[in-house]
Amino acid sequence: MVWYFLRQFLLAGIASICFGALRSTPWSAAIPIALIGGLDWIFYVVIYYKLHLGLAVCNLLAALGISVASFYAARHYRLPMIVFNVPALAALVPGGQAYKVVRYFVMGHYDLTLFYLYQVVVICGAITIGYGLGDVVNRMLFYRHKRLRQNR
Amino acid sequence: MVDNERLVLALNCSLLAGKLLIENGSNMERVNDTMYRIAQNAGLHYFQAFTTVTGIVVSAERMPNAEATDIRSRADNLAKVVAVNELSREFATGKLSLEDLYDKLQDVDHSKMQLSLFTQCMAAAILSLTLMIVFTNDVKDSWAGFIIGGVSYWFYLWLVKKFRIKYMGEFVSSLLIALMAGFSYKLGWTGNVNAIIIGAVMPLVPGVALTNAARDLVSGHLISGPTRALEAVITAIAIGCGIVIVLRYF
Repeated sequence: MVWYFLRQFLLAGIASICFGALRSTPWSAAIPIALIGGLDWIFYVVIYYKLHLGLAVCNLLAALGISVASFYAARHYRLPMIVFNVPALAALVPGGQAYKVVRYFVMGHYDLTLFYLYQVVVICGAITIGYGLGDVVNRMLFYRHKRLRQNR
Repeated sequence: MVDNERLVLALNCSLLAGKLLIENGSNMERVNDTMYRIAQNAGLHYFQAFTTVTGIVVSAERMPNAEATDIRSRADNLAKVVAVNELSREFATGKLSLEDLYDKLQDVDHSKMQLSLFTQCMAAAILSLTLMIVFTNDVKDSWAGFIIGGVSYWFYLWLVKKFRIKYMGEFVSSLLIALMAGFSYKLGWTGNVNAIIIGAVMPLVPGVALTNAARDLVSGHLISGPTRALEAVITAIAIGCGIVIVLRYF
């Protein structure tokens, strides 16, 4: 069990670093990128495959997690948020499902095409809303911190 | 009020910074934020910027002095985004003067700032390998994903450099991926065509475009949001078409 999660964490972390390397992110940010990508993938695996919360909610929560974590990483490392935001999505984008849409469309199985197309659309939409909510949550957390400092 | 020469220089700085950020894949919120910050720190009043994914128009001081720029193609070079961000920060704290800022922005514009070809292809190969295992649990054929992912990404970079049309590069390299995966299946070297293609296609998938499209839409940039989403969809269609054409015969 622990080995399974460790393997997923390592794979997702390395995938996130490589995703960042393809986009020329600075190497100094490699470790936080790997951590955010790996931890978020583990989070998603737990809530989707173990707790069965449903596709949309799981992707929304995972994107929310990425958004909040990358905001704090951006402030700590003084790099723009996009450096942590984008590579962490490496394992979350619906690559397998999108390919299956194409594959079953070619083979003529239109029912399966629609089934996987539904998943692709839902995942993309949920990630969008998750990022939007993440921006809102970050603003809430940031201003709360500012207001607390002013009150002192 | 700022004197005319400084006004023009500040407008050009702001414009160049915005252009660099959009050209290298930043989201609109950061672009606007950076441009307004540079203008404010240069002392411009009533600065207005109209930013879209294909062009920027700026003006300041409510005078007829608008400047515009055209953005032809967008790439994913986050190193330049980081560099422009850093320069804007240094200008805000006073470490750089306006002239220095303009010179350094032009240096960033003309420099390459990308990782070497070998590093990028290795990163693409490792990405294909890891994501293949994560998505399909197929460890036995992952070596094929590694090789096909690396070779096809190298081919894609060469095509983009040679022909400068991104969609053409994606189409042809996904043709190549499907061909190589199909042949390795026919020759009996691998067991599963689908898993290899899923892994090998991952470096080409438009991850940044989708994310930025989402963030732009949510933050109210109704022109750039759907535009970027459209770019992502066209890329996905190009990749899909490339794979479909070959898979029809396997």
